[in-house]
Amino acid sequence: MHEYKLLFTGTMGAGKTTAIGAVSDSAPLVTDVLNTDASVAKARTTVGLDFGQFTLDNGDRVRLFGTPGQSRFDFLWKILAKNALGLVILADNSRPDPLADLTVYLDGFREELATLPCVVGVGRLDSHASPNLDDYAALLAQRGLVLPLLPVDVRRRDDVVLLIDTLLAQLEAHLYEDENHDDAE
Amino acid sequence: MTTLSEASKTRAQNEVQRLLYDVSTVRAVVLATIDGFDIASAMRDELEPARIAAMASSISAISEVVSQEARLGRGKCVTLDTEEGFALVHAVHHPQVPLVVNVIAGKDAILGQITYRVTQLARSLAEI
Amino acid sequence: MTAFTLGVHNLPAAEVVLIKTLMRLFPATATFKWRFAETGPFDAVVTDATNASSEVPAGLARGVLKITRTDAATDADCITRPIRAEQLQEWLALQGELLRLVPRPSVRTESRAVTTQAGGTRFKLRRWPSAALLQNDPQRIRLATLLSRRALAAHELARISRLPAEQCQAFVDSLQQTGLIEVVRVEAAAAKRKPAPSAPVLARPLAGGLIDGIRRRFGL
Repeated sequence: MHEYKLLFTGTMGAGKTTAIGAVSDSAPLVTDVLNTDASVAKARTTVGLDFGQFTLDNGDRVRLFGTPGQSRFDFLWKILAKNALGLVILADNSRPDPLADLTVYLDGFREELATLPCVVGVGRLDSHASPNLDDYAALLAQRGLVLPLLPVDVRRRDDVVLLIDTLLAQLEAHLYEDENHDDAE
Repeated sequence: MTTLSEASKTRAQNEVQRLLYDVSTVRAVVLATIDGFDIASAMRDELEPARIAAMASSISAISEVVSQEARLGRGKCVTLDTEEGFALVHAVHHPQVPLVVNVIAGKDAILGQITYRVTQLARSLAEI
Repeated sequence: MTAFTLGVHNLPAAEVVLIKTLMRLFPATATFKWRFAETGPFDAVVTDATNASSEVPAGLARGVLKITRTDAATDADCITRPIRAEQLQEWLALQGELLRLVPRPSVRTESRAVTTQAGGTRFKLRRWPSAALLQNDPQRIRLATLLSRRALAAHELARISRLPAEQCQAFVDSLQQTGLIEVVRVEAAAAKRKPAPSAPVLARPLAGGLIDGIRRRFGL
């Protein structure tokens, strides 16, 4: 039996815990505590990690880890990213500056992003249309990154599944060997 | 959402300072909110209270989950034993504002003594 | 803004050199971005309309600037000799406006022809496509994701995605029309590919099974 890991990160309130819960076999473990930050209207916040998992038909397990979103916990980001198959960055478009928020994670995971499959899921686009996905694409392009950008509602399992599918597609692209290369071996 | 009053923070600062002065083998004391913001600190070493606070809250929260999963009740204290000393992360069950106190001690420190003092500190901090 | 391409068709060598020189000298601005291209299909082409056998093949270019005799300069798409810089620049500026307003028709046949001649053409996304193009279609999203990660030919895209080759080609064509795709020509003799950096943790033999397993788990 093999075990694999997917990592979810993003700002407080972006829906990491919900996303993990949407695809886990059972209710995820959460390390959320009372939020004392008055600038964020949220009762609780993750300070350790969220943990969920799903099991495949061959018995292999895929573990889903959620990081705390605030940058004061960035020491955990690197620890949790180790040996991950892919990274999901969730953005909350209702926040004052979602593009600046995204930059925090692009910086925080800069080394990992050189090779790690990654997708950006943008939430609350239907109620907060700006910035739009093109603005996100422009930000990524400025940093030399081309990452899948999907609108998401993490309460919907299908949306979270689609995020995971884009990570899988990136893994497939990594693994592909062209016919000429194989023939030449 | 409640926070500590300024008066309480001052009392907390005095308490953590006192522990540092009383026990020469203590390297640092950081009192943090449960979500990782430092409130009061006293240091002999050049450490960053903000980072210690965040780490202490993570350790505390993760160990709380372990405690619950193992059906051992509410978490009290985590001991991190290292080559050059140890750290204690102790829950402070303040009625309004849950807190975490992190004490870092050097190699010469006596675990039992520090544990006793930190438990006392946690008790008095719960009443600030 | 991606540069539009200008080509030439059946012009005397001296005029080809003149046009190439002018294209290098024209300043690029936010609204004027043209470059000379050696091989088509082009966004626009300059041709010698004084020569009856110089008809531009269908599909070579969207816009055609004809060099005609003075008495035959009948419309805005004609200029007379000698080719003057400001005439060419003006026409290109106008053509650029038109191209931006009107989406390009499918250049599928031409793309395939270029692919065959070049010995292999791969495509790579240089920027994530718009939601309008992807239409929240999981298959389009998967194809775009593959192209975001490495340069792939349409048949390679079909192989990895297990989607029909025609569907992959059509999607690549639609991406080309938006200018978001980079064309990477690969000489057949040198097509031995350096593998892209692997995902850190997967051993190749396990990987395909894992990906299929996860897709089965979620009904993808």
